[in-house]
Amino acid sequence: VNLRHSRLIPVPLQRLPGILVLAGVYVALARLGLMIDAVSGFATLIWAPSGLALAVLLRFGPVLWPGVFLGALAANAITGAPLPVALAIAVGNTSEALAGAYGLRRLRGFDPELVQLRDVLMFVGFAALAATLIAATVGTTALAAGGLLEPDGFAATWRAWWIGDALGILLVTPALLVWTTPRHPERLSRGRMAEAAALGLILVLLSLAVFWFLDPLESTGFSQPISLVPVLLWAALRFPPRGGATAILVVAVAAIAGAVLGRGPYADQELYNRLELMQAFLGIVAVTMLILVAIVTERQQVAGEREAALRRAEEAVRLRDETLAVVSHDLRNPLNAVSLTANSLAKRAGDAALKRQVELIERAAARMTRLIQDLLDSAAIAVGRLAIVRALYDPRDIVLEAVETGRALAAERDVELVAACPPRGWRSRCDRERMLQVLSNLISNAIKASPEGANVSVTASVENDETVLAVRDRGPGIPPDEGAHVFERYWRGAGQQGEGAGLGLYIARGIVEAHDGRIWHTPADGGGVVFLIAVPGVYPARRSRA
Amino acid sequence: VSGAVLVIDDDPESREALAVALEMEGYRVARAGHGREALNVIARDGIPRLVLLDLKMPVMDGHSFVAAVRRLPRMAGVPIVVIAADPLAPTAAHRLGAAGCLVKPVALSELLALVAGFSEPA
Repeated sequence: VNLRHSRLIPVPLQRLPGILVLAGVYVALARLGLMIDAVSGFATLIWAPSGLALAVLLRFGPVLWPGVFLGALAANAITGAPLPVALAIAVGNTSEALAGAYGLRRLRGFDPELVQLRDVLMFVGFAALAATLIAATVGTTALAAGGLLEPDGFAATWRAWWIGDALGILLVTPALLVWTTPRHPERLSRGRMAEAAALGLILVLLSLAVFWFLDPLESTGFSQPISLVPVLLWAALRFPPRGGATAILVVAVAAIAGAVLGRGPYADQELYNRLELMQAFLGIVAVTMLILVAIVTERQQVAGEREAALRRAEEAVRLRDETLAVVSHDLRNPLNAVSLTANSLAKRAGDAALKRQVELIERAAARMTRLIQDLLDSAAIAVGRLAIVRALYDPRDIVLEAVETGRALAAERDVELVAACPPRGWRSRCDRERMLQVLSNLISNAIKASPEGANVSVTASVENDETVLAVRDRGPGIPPDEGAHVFERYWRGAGQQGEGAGLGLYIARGIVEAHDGRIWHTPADGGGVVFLIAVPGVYPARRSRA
Repeated sequence: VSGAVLVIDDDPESREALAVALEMEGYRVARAGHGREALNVIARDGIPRLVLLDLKMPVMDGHSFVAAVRRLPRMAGVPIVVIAADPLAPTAAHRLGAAGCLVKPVALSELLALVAGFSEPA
């Protein structure tokens, strides 16, 4: 029978074991703390039970508050407080823990590992510094009312109570929280384990040296607690959050033991002064470490998220390229069958109507072939992997060949194609097939944009060490608001329809830019648009030896 | 089928379209779905006059077929033309020492011009 879910036991009773354990540990820690008591017999300078109470209520829920109450009541009663005073102190201590736990748990997304800067600031400001005012005020007032306090000792006791509770929370709560929060199983590599072991060893030895063995008067400087800071930083930066919280605790135990027993850097002071110096040191170090751990962890998280996002994006691009390659490859086989068979049919079709229908299939297959090539090209351009193979060519030949491929379309649309080339004698460094592709695309666009009877001119020239190719149409021009967009992927003008996926000019720009060149357009004199390409690298033609 | 054009392609429509288009032009054509089958066809029916070879195929791909054919002395003079879907096939064909290469989809005029260059119809 699962007792937790059994209705035979009322819910409050199910919590009884937890409450009793909490009360027991509370009393034990309180007795331990009172052994190093300094002020008034009740207020110690580091009150670990406050840290325990807050950690347990944060971790397991405020419903365990009776454990705090019982623990505080018993501890104070044992110490010698009359029952009413012990009750009042217990109420104050319980309120402190409850207030701190409620305040932190109300934060949206509060992480009990204290790895978010917001949580740490709230933990320090509210739970450690503000909520502890309750216990200090209630407790000191109860002592005074019970006659356990000299009137002039009120301020000192109140102050010691408040700082002791605050330090108890700052030093103990984080360590308890980080070690009781379940983490993703993290496998430490051998190197990290060795590093953690070295860190622990150095931290313990140095803490003992600083707070125990070295006499500050004889060994000047080194025994200063400040020499622990590098090791603490090591723990916070390399092993947050557990390393940081644990390191503070190790240093605190050494410091307290040393100070109480009159050793180490505070040895030449009175006990009260010793403890006060030690308190200041531990408080500052604890707050600094908590903030540092939070900042480091938040940064690691951001870096990890960024890396994961980058990996996902790279994976998506790779997958898309792969899919595209497979699809385009697999489309070419059926396309081959369609195209070849249509060619073969067209060759022997006697009937004119049948011939026109077969030609329709041929044109559709040709368009599909171009589309597959365009998709592959644009995918390559998008990831910056368009391969071009440059060599020296006479731009004149490229222009004339491109014009030749445009002849059929020009005749069909009743558009005149005019080529104007400079004399031979120079060479452009480019990928011949790719430049032909760009030029053919521009020419075909220009023919389609021009009205019947108009002419389209194609020119090549050399300007400032660049080969400049220009294609002019007599079409309606490009609306000003579309001018900047025509080279974008999948862009199609508002009035444009029919064939094409809007990849032509995107690919043209990609090819030209792969040549370190530029492509742009400008309104033409006499109407229409000129598309211009400038590609660097012009060389004089070598004289043929033949 | 000795003296035929041997079409090796795993894609059935593509293979049949190539074969029929050539048969329409008067060529005798043998067919195989991959390299291993093509070796069987050669062993059974004799030496072809020309091989049209796809590259990416199951069982035995184009590269392995070419390697296997190199060990057949009687195949020494038979030209192999690569016809593949990969846009980078020409580079691969060149490395294989193929006599030529066409990228799918192939135009009939291109195909006939290339085949005629190696063998007139029987």
